[in-house]
Amino acid sequence: MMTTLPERRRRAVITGIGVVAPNGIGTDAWWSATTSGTSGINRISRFDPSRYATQFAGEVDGFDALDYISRRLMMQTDRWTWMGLAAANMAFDDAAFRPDDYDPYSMSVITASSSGGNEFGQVEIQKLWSKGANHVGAYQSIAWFYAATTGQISIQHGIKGASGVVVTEGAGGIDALAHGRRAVFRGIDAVVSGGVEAPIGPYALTCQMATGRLSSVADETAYRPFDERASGYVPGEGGAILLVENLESAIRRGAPTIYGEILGYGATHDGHHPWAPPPDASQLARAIKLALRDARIEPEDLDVVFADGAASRAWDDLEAQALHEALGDHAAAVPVSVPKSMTGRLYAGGASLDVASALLAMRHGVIPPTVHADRPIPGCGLDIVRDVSRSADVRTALVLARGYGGFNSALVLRRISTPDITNDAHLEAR
Amino acid sequence: MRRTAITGVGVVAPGGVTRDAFWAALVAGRSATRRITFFDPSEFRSQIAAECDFDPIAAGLSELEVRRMDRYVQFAVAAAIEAVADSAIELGTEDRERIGVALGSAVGGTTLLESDYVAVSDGGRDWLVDPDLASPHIYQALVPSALASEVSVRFGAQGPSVVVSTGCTSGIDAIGFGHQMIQDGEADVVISGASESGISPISMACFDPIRATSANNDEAESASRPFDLKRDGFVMGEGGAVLVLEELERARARGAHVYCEISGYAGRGNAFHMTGLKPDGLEMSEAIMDAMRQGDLEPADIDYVNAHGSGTRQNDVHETAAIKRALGEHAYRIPVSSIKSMVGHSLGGIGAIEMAACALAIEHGVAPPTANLTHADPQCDLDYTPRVARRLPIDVALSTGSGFGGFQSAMILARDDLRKAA
Amino acid sequence: MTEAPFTYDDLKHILVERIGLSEAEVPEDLDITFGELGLDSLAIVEVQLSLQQDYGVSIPDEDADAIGTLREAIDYTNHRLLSVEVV
Repeated sequence: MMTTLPERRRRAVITGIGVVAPNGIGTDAWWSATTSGTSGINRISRFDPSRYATQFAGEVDGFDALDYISRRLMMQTDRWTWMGLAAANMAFDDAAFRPDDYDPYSMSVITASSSGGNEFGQVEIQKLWSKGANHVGAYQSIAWFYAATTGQISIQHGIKGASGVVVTEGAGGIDALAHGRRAVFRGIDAVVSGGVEAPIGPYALTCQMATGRLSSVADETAYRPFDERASGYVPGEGGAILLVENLESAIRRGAPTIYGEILGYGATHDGHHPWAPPPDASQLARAIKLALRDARIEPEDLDVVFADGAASRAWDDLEAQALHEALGDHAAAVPVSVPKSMTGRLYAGGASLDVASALLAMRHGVIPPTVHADRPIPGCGLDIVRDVSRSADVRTALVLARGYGGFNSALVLRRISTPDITNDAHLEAR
Repeated sequence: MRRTAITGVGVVAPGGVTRDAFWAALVAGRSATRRITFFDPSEFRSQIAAECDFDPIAAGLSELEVRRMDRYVQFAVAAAIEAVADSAIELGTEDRERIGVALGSAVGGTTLLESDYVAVSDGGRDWLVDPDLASPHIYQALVPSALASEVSVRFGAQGPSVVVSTGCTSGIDAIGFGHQMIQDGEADVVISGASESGISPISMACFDPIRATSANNDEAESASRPFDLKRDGFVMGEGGAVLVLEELERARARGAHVYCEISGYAGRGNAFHMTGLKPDGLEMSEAIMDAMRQGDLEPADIDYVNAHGSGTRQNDVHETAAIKRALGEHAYRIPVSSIKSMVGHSLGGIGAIEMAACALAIEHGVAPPTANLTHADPQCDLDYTPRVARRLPIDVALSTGSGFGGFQSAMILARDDLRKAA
Repeated sequence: MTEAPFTYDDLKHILVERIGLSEAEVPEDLDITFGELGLDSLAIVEVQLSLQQDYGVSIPDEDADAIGTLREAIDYTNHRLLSVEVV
């Protein structure tokens, strides 16, 4: 399998989606909950959160790893990897794609990572410090590090193409998919991409709370982006794994579903401060503009925006400004939504899940809502889809994500319809 | 097709915390491995490491930066400062929006994550840790993206910025990522490299049970002995390196000093086992051959191989097979060496340190040696440049990397005036 | 007959709780190797770590390589436990 130089005649499309989310395990359950405005944010139950300022989060209740992987593999991996393996299996099933049927070198795994196998690591560090060095297990060397999920997916499915792990905190899901697209341009036919996260443990929570960005509201309304009562966000676990294929190979093998194409990508960094907000939204706006230019579309072509939705005033204001700056008049007209208000921020899983939302919005003609955000911040000037889903013909979507420290990423997705596929025009150089 | 030049090199390594000191140590064949001084290693099976005698203030960081940045971030910032100065890029007149960052790390802030854990958990006694005892920057230790954002901030770089975390191939892979950013026109300059600072109890403890690290504690200075018959594992290291990657035409246009260009970069996965390697080196050889094809190179074009050479029994056999499979008979005619013999294995950081060594090898026409190589292993029968550096023209250098998770990577650097006319 | 402090059931417990085998997967035949049970190198290390951590039997490198079957693991552990002086 040769890595060719990047070839724009190849096109990256998404043919399979697997979701593990706080409001639904499996794509159907999650989409049904999401479109009905059902939140998965609840009081943390996996441990007693009473001593912590943040006590609410999006946990995936009832997730049984044994439904997806063997008990032997469970012992060697963190909950984060269980979810990743589960979602990857779901994506393969959804795409009717069996890796065994293909040249191992024609496939890659490129996922986003943020806190890695932190709970597994906490258990082992606990043993080391409370009992001694010889109490650390054999699996610590493979379970905690940020590449563990990509590694395990590639081994479980016999995938040998160039694989990767991208860490840009909340922007990771988009950046991993974009890197997957780079791989497709360079000759890979199928990339397992997206990301998941499992950041709900006492130490991981402690680390997150140190940023001052988490909400301490003790009910489901804790995370309300673009609302004047916003007081921060809550974390969630889970995310989405997506199968990205070269369009031609997907057609050739008879892929049952082609959700859409990764049409454009833009990424910037504020280059301003390790955590404080930048003085203006110019770099976030530029990420959007770069994505539009890469997609060769105009702002007016966008039918929906899935926003980052930090739910803190300074950051929400900046995002609104960025949309106005990049989309001009269309910013006030295009529907904007933050369905992660129902799940919490999923870090490596966040933008991945938003991409799944965008693709399903295209497929079903429904834009899922933002919940508990019925008092819009003054001067926001955006059409936030609130509380209930909205019917809409969604052909082109923009997904935005920011990562702690100044990362800004934007992805443009477009629905693929049958005439696009059967028409040879898609083979012309772009 | 846009090409990627290397116009600046910065290094923080054991035995040499600047580029020149690092190179001098390599050429002298000087090992920097010693008994661990950062904490009492007595209860560990492997008690040795290659530590950096690093002064962040001397390296150009401010007191404020030192206070908030994890050690591995400090290494990267220091190396980036040196690399950017080396490149003579005038940041003041550059378009910052076209400067990107691509940096690698395998275990990120593990050292701070562990030491803070001791504080908040009352020495590992409490599962429900006390958040009031956490240090203010603990989040950056949990999520290693700070490595990239701190460098973006330091240089006001507003182009795409990422951390690549693919275990022990993070170093090569991050530079490969930067190379692809330039190829694809997303940036014109990328500050790219990797860094690791994982010499801490949990890191030593996790490699002990699987016997991946050397237990030759009484002979610390010669314990890292890749390809040697008596090798018994790798020696943990720390450090980092940064390269300034620059689109070749604009580098030439501004009269930059070009060390070499990135001729090819490729990765494969062995899809076999998270830590185990098969002796045939198949997937690594595929990565090597892919990297060669990208630069239109034949095996005979390769002048030097900088091996992963971790010094574990299985790696050195696996890698020898991979090099032979990819280069055929030519593998026997060229020097191969592992600088881990001198600077240890800094996990996610070493790949970038090795790429820096390759750029310097091309620049100076010297292949660094494999230190401590005194007993031939019949299973490893290539010319591993034992103990003494070798002077020879190096136009093309191949570097290989292998890591937990099955990652296999290869990168080829070539003098930029070699490329056949397009 | 000296009572063996470490039994087949103890080893079975380790295989089930630390390695993830089901009860049914642990054979009665003690001469089956760990490799035949599908344990990879890491899992075998994990078994030996359990002996160290839960039974105080630390296993030097040269002995570790010689423990291949269930019987060898049980015998080795008992040999070490019984040879510890009782004060």
